[in-house]
Amino acid sequence: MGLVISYPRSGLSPGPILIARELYKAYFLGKTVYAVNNVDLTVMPGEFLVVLGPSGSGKSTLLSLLAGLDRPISGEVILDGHVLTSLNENQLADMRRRKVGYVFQFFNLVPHLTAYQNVSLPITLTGAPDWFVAQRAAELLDLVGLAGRRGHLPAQMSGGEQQRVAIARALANEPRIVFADEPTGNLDSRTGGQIRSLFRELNRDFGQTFVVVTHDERFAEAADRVLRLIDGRLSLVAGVEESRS
Amino acid sequence: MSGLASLILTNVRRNLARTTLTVVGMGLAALIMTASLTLSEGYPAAAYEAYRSYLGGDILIYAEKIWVRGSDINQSESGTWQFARLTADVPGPAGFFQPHLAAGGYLRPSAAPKGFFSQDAVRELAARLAAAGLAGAVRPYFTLPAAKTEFAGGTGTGFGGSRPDAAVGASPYVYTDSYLRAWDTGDGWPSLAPFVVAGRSLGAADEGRLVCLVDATRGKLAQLPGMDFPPEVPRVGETLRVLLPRLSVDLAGQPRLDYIGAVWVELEVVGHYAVPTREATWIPPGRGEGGATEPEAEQLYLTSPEIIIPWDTAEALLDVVSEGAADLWASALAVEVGSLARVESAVTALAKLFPDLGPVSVPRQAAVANAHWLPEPVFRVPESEWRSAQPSGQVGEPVRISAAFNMIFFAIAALLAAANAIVLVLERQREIGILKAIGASSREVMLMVLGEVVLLSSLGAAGGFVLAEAMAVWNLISNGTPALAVLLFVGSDMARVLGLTVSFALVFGLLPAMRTTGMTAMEVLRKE
Repeated sequence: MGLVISYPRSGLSPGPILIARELYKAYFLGKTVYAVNNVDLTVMPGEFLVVLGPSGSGKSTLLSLLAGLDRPISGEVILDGHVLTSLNENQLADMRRRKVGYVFQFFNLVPHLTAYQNVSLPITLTGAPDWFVAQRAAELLDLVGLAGRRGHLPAQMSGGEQQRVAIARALANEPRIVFADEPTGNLDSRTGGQIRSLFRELNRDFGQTFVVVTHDERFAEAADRVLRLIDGRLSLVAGVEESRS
Repeated sequence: MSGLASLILTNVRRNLARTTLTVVGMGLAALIMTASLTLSEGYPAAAYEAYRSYLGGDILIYAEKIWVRGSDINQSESGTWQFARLTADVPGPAGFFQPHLAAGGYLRPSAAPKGFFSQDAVRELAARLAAAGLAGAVRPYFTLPAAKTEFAGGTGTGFGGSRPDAAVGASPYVYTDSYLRAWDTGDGWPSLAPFVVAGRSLGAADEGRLVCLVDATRGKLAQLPGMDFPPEVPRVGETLRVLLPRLSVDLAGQPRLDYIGAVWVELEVVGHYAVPTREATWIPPGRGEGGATEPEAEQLYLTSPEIIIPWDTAEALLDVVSEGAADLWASALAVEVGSLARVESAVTALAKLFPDLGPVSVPRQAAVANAHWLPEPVFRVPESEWRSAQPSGQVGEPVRISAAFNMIFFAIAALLAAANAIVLVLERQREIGILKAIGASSREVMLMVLGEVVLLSSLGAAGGFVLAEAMAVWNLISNGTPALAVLLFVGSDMARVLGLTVSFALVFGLLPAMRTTGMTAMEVLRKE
């Protein structure tokens, strides 16, 4: 059994929104390399969790396992009461659509779709009526400060703007949890600061749960809790009081 | 679903470069496919008109199968194989189109004893063809071999030129490569009148009379090296003496010729005919340097060893020489389809209906013969020109080769459609990964990708089809095909081409799409 890190602020929510137990993921690169090695983790609703770690420490792999984008070789992930590791591909897709938001380091916007269309995409997949899709996408673009850029293609926007579109897309279906993989890794420091502030605001104002993996230590300032991942293993750096002090 | 559909349309609209490339690629595939499926079997109405009229049909069915061996064609000496003596023993269009094959012994009887078609066989064949809706008319190539032909000759203005030094009563011209061909002057047979250049054509009143038409151009054959021909043709009104060998039929049904008991027949020449086919043009060597030069030209004629006699006359003569043992000497059947637009389809259907026969379309046969500067003799075209036009390798069986090329073109088109679909899907791997990451199921991704493949391949295929089919429709219309039949042809072509193009695209798009959607979202994105 690996290190169990429990939610530091009790009383915020009746139960954890995300639980990971004895999670393993390995790649064979000439020899077997464990990108995620016996990770146990619990995330409570409304928490802002930051996982710090250097490049190659397994941060992205861990995040993809937690978000149901990839499957572990052993262990289980329970998201909002659903055991992701026991779901089939279609059920997993449904979970990602309704309960998960994901922000990539390289934005991963569909290049030939406008900002508005990129944000609409996950809402469209739920089968929502057109009027709702339009209204929700407009609200989200407004929320991230891009109401005036709705008709722009990703190539016509700066890195920071693209990442905001990606964040709006991640929030599209009011997910229970948003995972962010190095969200400022591809941005300059000023734009990175804006994105960190946006995350913090969304967490503070809307109680949005965030799990952010990054090597950007400045994210720790906004976090409720900070963990460190080294060679696929997690360790606690600081609880909420420490990290914000 | 409507969300997916609008996403497909957005993708198609937004990715104009990719969309254009795919549509053009698919269009090209459909164009090739349509051409290989439809155009390859059709010819313009006027194509090979002279051959068709003279042979009496659009398709020839030989009593013996044709075997082609290229090496002998290549080894043949120029001029010697164009009218080999064996044509007398293999009368009709086989020896006419490809005498070198007959001379080389490559016209071999198939397993069934079909030395010639009997009247019953012709009637049965005609009935079966009519029942299958394949033919409008079946005309037997009824011929009688001639052991010797002679005429006095004399001053005249034959088609090949005059012979002022000849005197009436001189030694007769004798040649041995001729045969009599029966031509029905009744309704339904093509008229010979357009080909008659001197005298008159044969008419219904000539049936049963000893009259004939001779080829006006054959006197020129004497100019060819190695040819033992009189330089003159019998004049109109002159008597032509023909020695017909005795004819019997052996127990196996094969014809036997007896030259010892041969019978002399005297025929009055009532007209000359000439069948112009194509014009050969060439730039003489050494000319054309330092400026444009008018090319030299030579009109070619379907010079024939045939002496055309009325049908009833031929039957009466056959009765005499066979003493009633043979009812018809038909070495081939000319089948009239009425249109060249679908003649190769009819050939294929005929071959299926009668697997032991060897149907070949007249245009196909003429094209193969033309590649060897056959069947017309050439007089002025330099040898360097027509010898270089001959294929250097093995010729093979023309129909099979053409079918093989069609298959190759079809395979290229199929590969093009498949490659387009594969590229379209592989190019979208990143998008597929993103879609999966934001919650699209494998089924939705598959539907979206394949929806795009189907939409673009249908658009492209429709475009390519319209381009190629327009030419096919022109062929049909110019051949006088009824409007309803044109519609049916177009409909069936469209179903085939669009069905095949889209199916290929779908199947080959499905494979990478299945592989991609089978991966987790992270695996797809990581691959990118």
